[in-house]
Amino acid sequence: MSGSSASDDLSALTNIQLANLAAAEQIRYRHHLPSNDRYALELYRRGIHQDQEAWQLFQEQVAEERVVSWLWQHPCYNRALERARTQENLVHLTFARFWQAVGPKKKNFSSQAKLFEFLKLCVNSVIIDELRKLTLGEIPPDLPAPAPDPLKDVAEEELWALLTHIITNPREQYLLRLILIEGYKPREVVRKSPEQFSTTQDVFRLWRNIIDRLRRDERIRRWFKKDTT
Amino acid sequence: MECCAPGTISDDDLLRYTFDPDELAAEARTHFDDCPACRARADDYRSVSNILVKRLHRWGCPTTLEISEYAAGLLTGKDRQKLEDHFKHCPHCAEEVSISREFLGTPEPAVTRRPVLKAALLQQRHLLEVAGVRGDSPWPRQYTIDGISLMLELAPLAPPGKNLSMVGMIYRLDTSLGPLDNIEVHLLPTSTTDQSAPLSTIIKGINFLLSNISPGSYELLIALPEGNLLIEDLELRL
Repeated sequence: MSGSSASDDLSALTNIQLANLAAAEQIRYRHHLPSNDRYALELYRRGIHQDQEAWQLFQEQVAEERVVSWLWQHPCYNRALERARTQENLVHLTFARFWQAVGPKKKNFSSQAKLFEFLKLCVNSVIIDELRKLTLGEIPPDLPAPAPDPLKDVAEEELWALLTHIITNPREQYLLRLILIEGYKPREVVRKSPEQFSTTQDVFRLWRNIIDRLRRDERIRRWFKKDTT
Repeated sequence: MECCAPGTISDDDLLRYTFDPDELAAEARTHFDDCPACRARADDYRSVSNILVKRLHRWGCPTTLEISEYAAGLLTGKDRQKLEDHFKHCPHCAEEVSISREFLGTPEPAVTRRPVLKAALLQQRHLLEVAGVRGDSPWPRQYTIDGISLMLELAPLAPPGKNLSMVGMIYRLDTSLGPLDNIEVHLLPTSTTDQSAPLSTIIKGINFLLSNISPGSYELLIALPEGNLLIEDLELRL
Protein backbone atom coordinates (compact mmCIF):
# COMPACT_ATOMS: atom_id res chain seq x y z
CA MET A 1 0.00 0.00 0.00
CA SER A 2 1.00 3.60 -0.48
CA GLY A 3 3.38 4.88 2.10
CA SER A 4 1.42 8.10 2.54
CA SER A 5 -0.57 8.56 5.69
CA ALA A 6 -4.29 9.18 5.85
CA SER A 7 -3.68 12.60 7.29
CA ASP A 8 -1.86 13.88 4.19
CA ASP A 9 -3.36 17.11 3.01
CA LEU A 10 -4.20 16.41 -0.61
CA SER A 11 -4.95 20.04 -1.35
CA ALA A 12 -1.20 20.72 -1.22
CA LEU A 13 -0.55 18.27 -4.07
CA THR A 14 -0.35 19.35 -7.68
CA ASN A 15 -2.59 17.68 -10.24
CA ILE A 16 0.43 15.85 -11.65
CA GLN A 17 1.40 14.49 -8.23
CA LEU A 18 -2.16 13.34 -7.62
CA ALA A 19 -2.31 11.71 -11.05
CA ASN A 20 0.99 9.89 -10.49
CA LEU A 21 -0.12 8.56 -7.13
CA ALA A 22 -3.57 7.66 -8.47
CA ALA A 23 -1.99 5.84 -11.42
CA ALA A 24 0.22 3.86 -9.02
CA GLU A 25 -2.88 2.90 -7.02
CA GLN A 26 -4.59 1.70 -10.22
CA ILE A 27 -1.62 -0.61 -10.83
CA ARG A 28 -1.88 -1.92 -7.26
CA TYR A 29 -5.60 -2.48 -7.75
CA ARG A 30 -5.02 -4.29 -11.04
CA HIS A 31 -2.58 -6.63 -9.31
CA HIS A 32 -5.04 -7.24 -6.48
CA LEU A 33 -3.03 -5.41 -3.87
CA PRO A 34 -4.69 -3.18 -1.27
CA SER A 35 -5.07 0.24 -2.86
CA ASN A 36 -6.04 3.72 -1.87
CA ASP A 37 -8.68 5.62 -3.85
CA ARG A 38 -8.31 9.05 -2.30
CA TYR A 39 -5.96 10.40 -4.99
CA ALA A 40 -8.32 9.41 -7.80
CA LEU A 41 -11.31 10.87 -5.97
CA GLU A 42 -9.47 14.14 -5.30
CA LEU A 43 -8.48 14.38 -8.96
CA TYR A 44 -12.10 13.73 -9.95
CA ARG A 45 -13.32 16.32 -7.42
CA ARG A 46 -11.02 18.95 -8.89
CA GLY A 47 -12.11 17.95 -12.39
CA ILE A 48 -15.81 18.50 -11.77
CA HIS A 49 -14.96 21.86 -10.23
CA GLN A 50 -13.74 23.11 -13.59
CA ASP A 51 -10.06 22.20 -13.26
CA GLN A 52 -9.53 21.05 -16.83
CA GLU A 53 -6.04 19.72 -16.24
CA ALA A 54 -7.31 17.56 -13.38
CA TRP A 55 -10.19 16.28 -15.51
CA GLN A 56 -7.83 15.42 -18.34
CA LEU A 57 -5.45 13.60 -15.99
CA PHE A 58 -8.34 11.81 -14.32
CA GLN A 59 -9.45 10.50 -17.71
CA GLU A 60 -6.02 9.51 -18.97
CA GLN A 61 -4.33 8.14 -15.87
CA VAL A 62 -7.19 6.85 -13.75
CA ALA A 63 -10.18 5.91 -15.85
CA GLU A 64 -9.26 5.31 -19.49
CA GLU A 65 -7.74 1.87 -19.06
CA ARG A 66 -10.85 0.74 -17.22
CA VAL A 67 -13.16 2.22 -19.89
CA VAL A 68 -11.28 0.42 -22.65
CA SER A 69 -11.48 -2.91 -20.84
CA TRP A 70 -15.25 -2.47 -20.36
CA LEU A 71 -15.72 -1.61 -24.02
CA TRP A 72 -14.01 -4.86 -24.96
CA GLN A 73 -16.21 -6.78 -22.55
CA HIS A 74 -19.44 -5.38 -23.95
CA PRO A 75 -21.41 -7.94 -25.99
CA CYS A 76 -22.25 -5.27 -28.61
CA TYR A 77 -18.82 -3.61 -28.83
CA ASN A 78 -18.18 -4.71 -32.40
CA ARG A 79 -21.58 -3.52 -33.62
CA ALA A 80 -21.11 -0.17 -31.90
CA LEU A 81 -17.71 0.10 -33.53
CA GLU A 82 -19.36 -0.17 -36.96
CA ARG A 83 -20.84 3.24 -36.37
CA ALA A 84 -18.34 4.90 -34.07
CA ARG A 85 -15.49 3.72 -36.32
CA THR A 86 -12.76 3.76 -33.68
CA GLN A 87 -12.33 2.73 -30.09
CA GLU A 88 -11.06 6.27 -29.37
CA ASN A 89 -14.40 7.70 -30.48
CA LEU A 90 -16.23 5.41 -28.07
CA VAL A 91 -13.87 6.37 -25.24
CA HIS A 92 -14.40 10.04 -26.06
CA LEU A 93 -18.19 9.61 -26.15
CA THR A 94 -18.09 7.77 -22.83
CA PHE A 95 -16.26 10.59 -21.08
CA ALA A 96 -18.55 13.16 -22.70
CA ARG A 97 -21.58 11.22 -21.42
CA PHE A 98 -19.98 10.88 -17.99
CA TRP A 99 -19.30 14.62 -17.87
CA GLN A 100 -22.89 15.45 -18.89
CA ALA A 101 -24.16 13.29 -16.05
CA VAL A 102 -21.78 14.36 -13.28
CA GLY A 103 -20.29 17.73 -14.26
CA PRO A 104 -23.23 20.12 -14.02
CA LYS A 105 -24.51 18.49 -10.81
CA LYS A 106 -21.02 18.21 -9.28
CA LYS A 107 -21.94 14.65 -8.39
CA ASN A 108 -19.91 13.18 -5.55
CA PHE A 109 -19.02 9.53 -5.11
CA SER A 110 -18.24 7.99 -1.74
CA SER A 111 -15.62 5.67 -3.23
CA GLN A 112 -13.74 4.93 -6.43
CA ALA A 113 -15.78 1.72 -6.73
CA LYS A 114 -19.03 3.74 -6.84
CA LEU A 115 -17.50 6.16 -9.32
CA PHE A 116 -16.41 3.32 -11.60
CA GLU A 117 -19.80 1.67 -11.26
CA PHE A 118 -21.37 4.83 -12.69
CA LEU A 119 -18.70 5.18 -15.37
CA LYS A 120 -19.46 1.63 -16.47
CA LEU A 121 -23.13 2.61 -16.88
CA CYS A 122 -21.94 5.39 -19.19
CA VAL A 123 -19.99 2.89 -21.30
CA ASN A 124 -23.17 0.83 -21.65
CA SER A 125 -25.23 3.93 -22.41
CA VAL A 126 -22.88 5.01 -25.20
CA ILE A 127 -22.85 1.58 -26.81
CA ILE A 128 -26.64 1.27 -26.71
CA ASP A 129 -26.90 4.76 -28.19
CA GLU A 130 -24.64 3.73 -31.05
CA LEU A 131 -26.90 0.73 -31.66
CA ARG A 132 -29.94 3.00 -31.70
CA LYS A 133 -28.29 5.22 -34.30
CA LEU A 134 -27.16 2.19 -36.26
CA THR A 135 -30.72 0.95 -36.58
CA LEU A 136 -31.71 4.36 -37.86
CA GLY A 137 -29.04 4.08 -40.53
CA GLU A 138 -27.57 7.44 -39.62
CA ILE A 139 -24.56 8.72 -41.47
CA PRO A 140 -21.34 8.05 -39.57
CA PRO A 141 -19.92 11.14 -37.89
CA ASP A 142 -16.91 11.65 -40.11
CA LEU A 143 -18.80 11.54 -43.40
CA PRO A 144 -20.18 14.77 -44.91
CA ALA A 145 -23.09 16.05 -42.85
CA PRO A 146 -26.58 15.32 -44.20
CA ALA A 147 -28.79 18.12 -45.48
CA PRO A 148 -30.10 20.25 -42.63
CA ASP A 149 -32.97 18.55 -40.84
CA PRO A 150 -36.02 20.75 -41.56
CA LEU A 151 -37.58 19.60 -38.32
CA LYS A 152 -34.59 20.15 -36.09
CA ASP A 153 -36.20 23.09 -34.29
CA VAL A 154 -39.56 21.38 -33.91
CA ALA A 155 -40.22 19.63 -30.61
CA GLU A 156 -41.23 15.99 -30.90
CA GLU A 157 -44.43 16.68 -28.97
CA GLU A 158 -45.37 19.45 -31.37
CA LEU A 159 -44.63 17.33 -34.41
CA TRP A 160 -46.56 14.34 -33.12
CA ALA A 161 -49.51 16.55 -32.16
CA LEU A 162 -49.60 17.95 -35.69
CA LEU A 163 -49.33 14.52 -37.33
CA THR A 164 -52.16 13.12 -35.24
CA HIS A 165 -54.20 16.24 -35.93
CA ILE A 166 -53.90 15.59 -39.65
CA ILE A 167 -54.15 11.80 -39.41
CA THR A 168 -57.11 11.17 -37.15
CA ASN A 169 -58.10 7.60 -38.00
CA PRO A 170 -56.98 5.33 -35.10
CA ARG A 171 -55.71 2.59 -37.42
CA GLU A 172 -53.64 5.10 -39.36
CA GLN A 173 -52.37 6.67 -36.14
CA TYR A 174 -51.35 3.22 -34.98
CA LEU A 175 -49.41 2.71 -38.23
CA LEU A 176 -47.76 6.12 -37.79
CA ARG A 177 -46.62 5.08 -34.32
CA LEU A 178 -45.34 1.71 -35.47
CA ILE A 179 -43.35 3.11 -38.38
CA LEU A 180 -42.18 6.49 -37.13
CA ILE A 181 -41.67 5.92 -33.41
CA GLU A 182 -41.11 2.21 -33.07
CA GLY A 183 -39.18 1.84 -36.32
CA TYR A 184 -41.07 -1.11 -37.79
CA LYS A 185 -40.82 -1.96 -41.47
CA PRO A 186 -44.00 -2.94 -43.36
CA ARG A 187 -43.25 -6.65 -43.12
CA GLU A 188 -42.72 -6.35 -39.37
CA VAL A 189 -45.95 -4.35 -39.01
CA VAL A 190 -47.88 -7.25 -40.55
CA ARG A 191 -46.11 -9.72 -38.28
CA LYS A 192 -46.83 -7.62 -35.19
CA SER A 193 -50.47 -6.80 -35.93
CA PRO A 194 -51.92 -9.23 -38.47
CA GLU A 195 -55.42 -8.48 -37.23
CA GLN A 196 -55.01 -4.83 -38.32
CA PHE A 197 -52.81 -5.27 -41.38
CA SER A 198 -53.13 -8.52 -43.26
CA THR A 199 -50.53 -7.91 -46.01
CA THR A 200 -47.62 -5.58 -46.73
CA GLN A 201 -49.70 -4.21 -49.60
CA ASP A 202 -52.20 -3.10 -46.96
CA VAL A 203 -49.46 -1.24 -45.17
CA PHE A 204 -48.08 0.27 -48.38
CA ARG A 205 -51.50 1.54 -49.44
CA LEU A 206 -52.23 3.10 -46.07
CA TRP A 207 -48.77 4.62 -45.76
CA ARG A 208 -48.92 6.17 -49.23
CA ASN A 209 -52.24 7.67 -48.28
CA ILE A 210 -50.80 9.04 -45.03
CA ILE A 211 -47.73 10.57 -46.67
CA ASP A 212 -49.81 12.14 -49.46
CA ARG A 213 -52.07 13.79 -46.89
CA LEU A 214 -49.14 14.98 -44.81
CA ARG A 215 -47.47 16.50 -47.85
CA ARG A 216 -50.64 18.42 -48.68
CA ASP A 217 -50.77 20.00 -45.23
CA GLU A 218 -49.73 23.65 -45.28
CA ARG A 219 -47.66 23.55 -42.04
CA ILE A 220 -45.73 20.45 -43.08
CA ARG A 221 -45.11 21.99 -46.50
CA ARG A 222 -43.80 25.15 -44.84
CA TRP A 223 -41.33 23.17 -42.71
CA PHE A 224 -40.04 21.20 -45.64
CA LYS A 225 -39.88 24.28 -47.85
CA LYS A 226 -37.70 26.03 -45.28
CA ASP A 227 -35.23 23.21 -45.73
CA THR A 228 -34.91 23.63 -49.46
CA THR A 229 -34.48 27.43 -49.50
CA MET B 1 -39.63 14.29 -66.32
CA GLU B 2 -41.42 11.18 -67.55
CA CYS B 3 -40.95 7.51 -66.85
CA CYS B 4 -38.95 5.74 -69.56
CA ALA B 5 -41.07 2.56 -69.33
CA PRO B 6 -44.49 3.33 -67.85
CA GLY B 7 -46.16 0.45 -66.02
CA THR B 8 -42.96 -1.21 -64.87
CA ILE B 9 -43.15 0.25 -61.39
CA SER B 10 -46.28 -0.24 -59.30
CA ASP B 11 -47.32 2.05 -56.45
CA ASP B 12 -46.28 -0.70 -54.06
CA ASP B 13 -42.82 -0.77 -55.63
CA LEU B 14 -42.44 2.92 -54.83
CA LEU B 15 -43.02 2.17 -51.16
CA ARG B 16 -40.91 -0.98 -51.25
CA TYR B 17 -38.08 1.15 -52.62
CA THR B 18 -38.68 3.58 -49.73
CA PHE B 19 -38.62 1.00 -46.96
CA ASP B 20 -36.63 -1.95 -48.16
CA PRO B 21 -35.03 -1.71 -51.64
CA ASP B 22 -33.58 -5.21 -51.21
CA GLU B 23 -37.10 -6.58 -51.41
CA LEU B 24 -37.65 -5.25 -54.92
CA ALA B 25 -37.85 -7.67 -57.82
CA ALA B 26 -34.78 -7.54 -60.07
CA GLU B 27 -36.73 -5.92 -62.92
CA ALA B 28 -38.02 -3.13 -60.67
CA ARG B 29 -34.58 -2.55 -59.21
CA THR B 30 -33.05 -2.21 -62.66
CA HIS B 31 -35.81 0.18 -63.63
CA PHE B 32 -35.12 2.41 -60.62
CA ASP B 33 -31.44 2.43 -61.58
CA ASP B 34 -32.27 3.52 -65.12
CA CYS B 35 -35.24 5.84 -64.65
CA PRO B 36 -34.61 9.21 -62.97
CA ALA B 37 -38.35 10.01 -63.00
CA CYS B 38 -39.33 6.96 -60.92
CA ARG B 39 -36.34 7.42 -58.69
CA ALA B 40 -37.36 11.01 -58.02
CA ARG B 41 -40.94 9.95 -57.16
CA ALA B 42 -39.67 7.29 -54.77
CA ASP B 43 -37.11 9.64 -53.23
CA ASP B 44 -39.88 12.11 -52.59
CA TYR B 45 -41.71 9.54 -50.43
CA ARG B 46 -38.49 8.42 -48.90
CA SER B 47 -37.30 11.86 -47.85
CA VAL B 48 -40.56 12.73 -46.06
CA SER B 49 -40.67 9.33 -44.33
CA ASN B 50 -37.01 9.42 -43.39
CA ILE B 51 -37.09 12.90 -41.93
CA LEU B 52 -40.11 12.02 -39.83
CA VAL B 53 -38.59 8.73 -38.72
CA LYS B 54 -35.32 10.41 -37.84
CA ARG B 55 -37.14 12.94 -35.69
CA LEU B 56 -39.56 10.61 -33.98
CA HIS B 57 -37.78 7.27 -33.82
CA ARG B 58 -37.77 6.03 -30.21
CA TRP B 59 -39.35 9.31 -29.13
CA GLY B 60 -40.69 8.74 -25.64
CA CYS B 61 -38.22 5.93 -24.95
CA PRO B 62 -36.08 6.32 -21.82
CA THR B 63 -32.53 7.57 -22.38
CA THR B 64 -29.87 4.91 -22.62
CA LEU B 65 -28.46 6.10 -19.29
CA GLU B 66 -31.87 5.52 -17.68
CA ILE B 67 -31.96 2.07 -19.29
CA SER B 68 -28.50 1.39 -17.83
CA GLU B 69 -29.48 2.61 -14.37
CA TYR B 70 -32.60 0.45 -14.48
CA ALA B 71 -30.65 -2.61 -15.59
CA ALA B 72 -28.16 -2.04 -12.77
CA GLY B 73 -31.03 -1.93 -10.25
CA LEU B 74 -30.36 1.70 -9.32
CA LEU B 75 -33.88 3.00 -9.94
CA THR B 76 -36.64 2.75 -7.37
CA GLY B 77 -40.25 3.78 -6.83
CA LYS B 78 -41.98 5.83 -9.50
CA ASP B 79 -38.89 6.08 -11.71
CA ARG B 80 -38.65 2.32 -11.89
CA GLN B 81 -42.39 1.83 -12.40
CA LYS B 82 -42.47 4.40 -15.22
CA LEU B 83 -39.82 2.48 -17.13
CA GLU B 84 -41.45 -0.88 -16.52
CA ASP B 85 -44.73 0.45 -17.91
CA HIS B 86 -42.86 1.59 -21.00
CA PHE B 87 -41.09 -1.75 -21.47
CA LYS B 88 -44.47 -3.51 -21.66
CA HIS B 89 -45.15 -2.02 -25.10
CA CYS B 90 -41.61 -1.27 -26.34
CA PRO B 91 -39.69 -4.34 -27.50
CA HIS B 92 -36.66 -2.19 -28.40
CA CYS B 93 -36.18 -0.99 -24.83
CA ALA B 94 -36.85 -4.45 -23.43
CA GLU B 95 -34.08 -5.77 -25.69
CA GLU B 96 -31.74 -3.00 -24.55
CA VAL B 97 -32.40 -3.87 -20.91
CA SER B 98 -31.52 -7.45 -21.67
CA ILE B 99 -28.23 -6.43 -23.36
CA SER B 100 -27.44 -4.06 -20.50
CA ARG B 101 -28.05 -6.73 -17.89
CA GLU B 102 -25.77 -9.10 -19.74
CA PHE B 103 -22.99 -6.49 -19.71
CA LEU B 104 -23.54 -4.94 -16.29
CA GLY B 105 -23.97 -8.36 -14.76
CA THR B 106 -20.53 -9.36 -16.00
CA PRO B 107 -18.53 -9.61 -12.82
CA GLU B 108 -15.41 -7.56 -12.50
CA PRO B 109 -12.27 -9.70 -12.52
CA ALA B 110 -12.00 -11.53 -9.22
CA VAL B 111 -10.58 -9.35 -6.48
CA THR B 112 -9.19 -12.17 -4.43
CA ARG B 113 -5.91 -10.89 -3.10
CA ARG B 114 -2.84 -12.42 -4.65
CA PRO B 115 -0.22 -13.57 -2.18
CA VAL B 116 2.36 -10.94 -1.37
CA LEU B 117 5.85 -12.38 -1.34
CA LYS B 118 8.21 -10.86 1.14
CA ALA B 119 11.79 -10.60 0.01
CA ALA B 120 14.71 -10.93 2.40
CA LEU B 121 17.57 -8.50 1.85
CA LEU B 122 20.88 -10.32 1.99
CA GLN B 123 23.99 -8.89 3.60
CA GLN B 124 25.50 -6.50 1.13
CA ARG B 125 29.17 -6.77 2.04
CA HIS B 126 29.93 -9.56 -0.41
CA LEU B 127 28.12 -7.82 -3.26
CA LEU B 128 29.84 -4.53 -2.58
CA GLU B 129 33.17 -6.26 -2.72
CA VAL B 130 32.28 -7.97 -5.97
CA ALA B 131 31.11 -4.67 -7.41
CA GLY B 132 34.24 -2.93 -6.19
CA VAL B 133 32.20 -0.43 -4.19
CA ARG B 134 33.75 1.20 -1.17
CA GLY B 135 31.96 3.01 1.64
CA ASP B 136 28.32 2.79 2.71
CA SER B 137 26.47 2.72 -0.59
CA PRO B 138 23.25 0.68 -0.26
CA TRP B 139 23.57 -0.46 -3.90
CA PRO B 140 23.65 -3.00 -5.39
CA ARG B 141 21.26 -5.09 -3.34
CA GLN B 142 20.39 -8.75 -3.40
CA TYR B 143 17.14 -10.31 -2.20
CA THR B 144 15.95 -13.88 -1.94
CA ILE B 145 12.36 -14.99 -2.10
CA ASP B 146 11.33 -18.66 -1.94
CA GLY B 147 13.83 -20.02 -4.44
CA ILE B 148 14.12 -16.77 -6.42
CA SER B 149 17.07 -14.43 -6.47
CA LEU B 150 16.69 -10.73 -7.23
CA MET B 151 19.53 -8.28 -7.66
CA LEU B 152 18.98 -4.54 -8.04
CA GLU B 153 21.47 -1.93 -9.07
CA LEU B 154 20.86 1.80 -9.18
CA ALA B 155 22.86 4.17 -11.32
CA PRO B 156 22.73 7.75 -12.51
CA LEU B 157 21.17 8.07 -15.89
CA ALA B 158 23.63 8.84 -18.66
CA PRO B 159 24.27 11.61 -19.57
CA PRO B 160 24.59 12.64 -15.95
CA GLY B 161 21.55 14.41 -14.57
CA LYS B 162 19.45 14.05 -11.51
CA ASN B 163 17.45 11.09 -12.77
CA LEU B 164 18.37 7.45 -12.23
CA SER B 165 18.06 4.08 -13.82
CA MET B 166 17.56 0.72 -12.17
CA VAL B 167 18.78 -2.56 -13.55
CA GLY B 168 17.32 -5.76 -12.17
CA MET B 169 18.30 -9.37 -12.54
CA ILE B 170 15.86 -12.03 -11.40
CA TYR B 171 15.99 -15.79 -11.76
CA ARG B 172 14.92 -19.02 -10.10
CA LEU B 173 17.61 -20.83 -8.21
CA ASP B 174 16.31 -24.06 -9.70
CA THR B 175 17.07 -23.30 -13.34
CA SER B 176 15.05 -26.30 -14.53
CA LEU B 177 11.91 -24.24 -13.69
CA GLY B 178 12.74 -21.84 -16.54
CA PRO B 179 13.23 -18.06 -16.70
CA LEU B 180 10.81 -15.47 -15.37
CA ASP B 181 10.31 -14.01 -18.82
CA ASN B 182 7.71 -11.38 -19.84
CA ILE B 183 6.62 -10.60 -16.32
CA GLU B 184 5.40 -7.12 -15.40
CA VAL B 185 7.59 -4.94 -13.21
CA HIS B 186 6.27 -1.68 -11.76
CA LEU B 187 8.03 1.02 -9.80
CA LEU B 188 5.34 2.82 -7.80
CA PRO B 189 5.80 6.19 -6.09
CA THR B 190 4.70 6.26 -2.45
CA SER B 191 5.45 9.74 -1.27
CA THR B 192 3.23 12.76 -1.63
CA THR B 193 6.21 15.06 -1.52
CA ASP B 194 7.93 13.77 -4.67
CA GLN B 195 7.06 14.41 -8.31
CA SER B 196 7.56 10.76 -9.25
CA ALA B 197 5.49 8.95 -11.84
CA PRO B 198 4.95 5.20 -11.88
CA LEU B 199 7.23 3.35 -14.30
CA SER B 200 6.60 -0.05 -15.83
CA THR B 201 8.53 -2.59 -17.83
CA ILE B 202 8.72 -6.32 -18.35
CA ILE B 203 11.42 -8.88 -17.66
CA LYS B 204 13.37 -9.90 -20.76
CA GLY B 205 15.08 -13.21 -20.13
CA ILE B 206 16.32 -12.57 -16.61
CA ASN B 207 16.83 -8.79 -16.77
CA PHE B 208 14.78 -5.65 -16.60
CA LEU B 209 15.56 -1.96 -16.87
CA LEU B 210 13.68 0.99 -15.46
CA SER B 211 15.06 4.31 -16.60
CA ASN B 212 14.46 8.01 -16.08
CA ILE B 213 13.51 7.52 -12.44
CA SER B 214 13.04 10.72 -10.45
CA PRO B 215 14.71 10.44 -7.07
CA GLY B 216 12.10 9.56 -4.46
CA SER B 217 10.35 6.92 -2.36
CA TYR B 218 9.00 3.88 -4.16
CA GLU B 219 7.75 0.32 -4.00
CA LEU B 220 8.88 -2.24 -6.54
CA LEU B 221 6.14 -4.61 -7.64
CA ILE B 222 7.00 -7.73 -9.67
CA ALA B 223 3.93 -9.72 -10.65
CA LEU B 224 5.36 -13.23 -10.32
CA PRO B 225 3.16 -16.21 -11.19
CA GLU B 226 3.15 -17.34 -7.56
CA GLY B 227 2.21 -13.91 -6.18
CA ASN B 228 3.18 -10.26 -6.07
CA LEU B 229 6.76 -9.67 -5.06
CA LEU B 230 6.76 -6.35 -3.25
CA ILE B 231 9.91 -4.52 -2.21
CA GLU B 232 8.73 -1.71 0.01
CA ASP B 233 10.41 1.45 1.28
CA LEU B 234 12.85 1.87 -1.57
CA GLU B 235 14.59 5.20 -1.25
CA LEU B 236 15.98 5.78 -4.72
CA ARG B 237 18.55 8.51 -4.40
CA LEU B 238 22.26 8.54 -4.98
